[in-house]
Amino acid sequence: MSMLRIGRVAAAIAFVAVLAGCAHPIAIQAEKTPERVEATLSSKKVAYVMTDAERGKQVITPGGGGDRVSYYPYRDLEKALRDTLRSVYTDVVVVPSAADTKALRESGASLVFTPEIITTSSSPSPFTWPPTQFGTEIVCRVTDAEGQEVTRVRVNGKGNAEFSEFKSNFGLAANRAGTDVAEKLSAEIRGNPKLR
Amino acid sequence: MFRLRFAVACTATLLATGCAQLMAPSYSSDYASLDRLKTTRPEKTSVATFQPTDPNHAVNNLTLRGARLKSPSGSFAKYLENALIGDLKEISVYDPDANTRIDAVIQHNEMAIGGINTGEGLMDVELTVTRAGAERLRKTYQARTSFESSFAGAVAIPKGQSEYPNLVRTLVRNVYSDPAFVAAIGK
Repeated sequence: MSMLRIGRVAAAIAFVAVLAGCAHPIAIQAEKTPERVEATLSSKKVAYVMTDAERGKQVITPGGGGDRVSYYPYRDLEKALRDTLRSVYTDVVVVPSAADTKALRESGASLVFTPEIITTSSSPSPFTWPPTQFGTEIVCRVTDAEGQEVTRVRVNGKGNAEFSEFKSNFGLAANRAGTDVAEKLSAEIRGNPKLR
Repeated sequence: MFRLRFAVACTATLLATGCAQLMAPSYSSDYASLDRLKTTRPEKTSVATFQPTDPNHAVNNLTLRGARLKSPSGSFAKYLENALIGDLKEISVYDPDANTRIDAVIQHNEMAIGGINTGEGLMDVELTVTRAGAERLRKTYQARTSFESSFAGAVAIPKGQSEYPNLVRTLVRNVYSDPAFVAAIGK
């Protein structure tokens, strides 16, 4: 094999390896969030906890063709989480820590939701990387303003999308999972007497 | 055989990125700064039609290494306008008939992903606040974001796409955190 041939093969392998080694970025915002109907709202003011460190936390999960996808679950799903709480409660604020009981008392929030977001993704396609199946689980520890646990809620959302649907959005399955998990979280909170 | 595999890999990459019209993800506010703005008890405020409305204007035509990034609102001026309206509604301050009005002109709007390792978002917006026709604020706000990117278009292009809402969020946070803006829409 000539040196030129070896060089071309090495460059091609390096190129493909870099492509394979990099995770493809997607955005996983919800397509839609639960509707806010003023007449049905609980009069409570609630807070949710989200830190800048969580917003900056990147997660990498499998895509198709042996590739991976990367995204920011907390940053991308904060609107869905907040809109979900706003679909149940009159007033919603964000706080950087559930441990700062003084700040929580001053905020006037009677309940504090501390979410954990867990995601999964996959695709059976051997050639294309966008995930066709996406799962989003939200686990919320709910405490009162003094930091005492009131309850926990856990919901799972799922989203599917075919490659022909992607067109301009490679995170479509994830967006649908976000919509699903937000609707289920809203229903779960509404159905829990400790949270009304 | 190698050439065939390489061609398949390249084709798959192109299918997954290039030649496509990409849609910018929906806006999500910087809620901490929005909550702080709410505590200042602003006046009811309306939002004018942000400029430029021409869909062919440079600020409304973003490309990511040749792939067009589209706004779900039709133009990026409308995307920013809708972002502010949504935020003001969220803190119960928006009123389309209010005397206090926000106007804005986007002067620069760019997702720069030509770099090997790093991409940048750049946005300059001249924002004006008037009350009963009298100008209370005229100021140009800037947002500069930086994010990890790649020489590979299959990574850099969707990264530029997914980072656009963060650029707008950064700009809007700079506006809400500015005491001059808070005073301009305050009582």
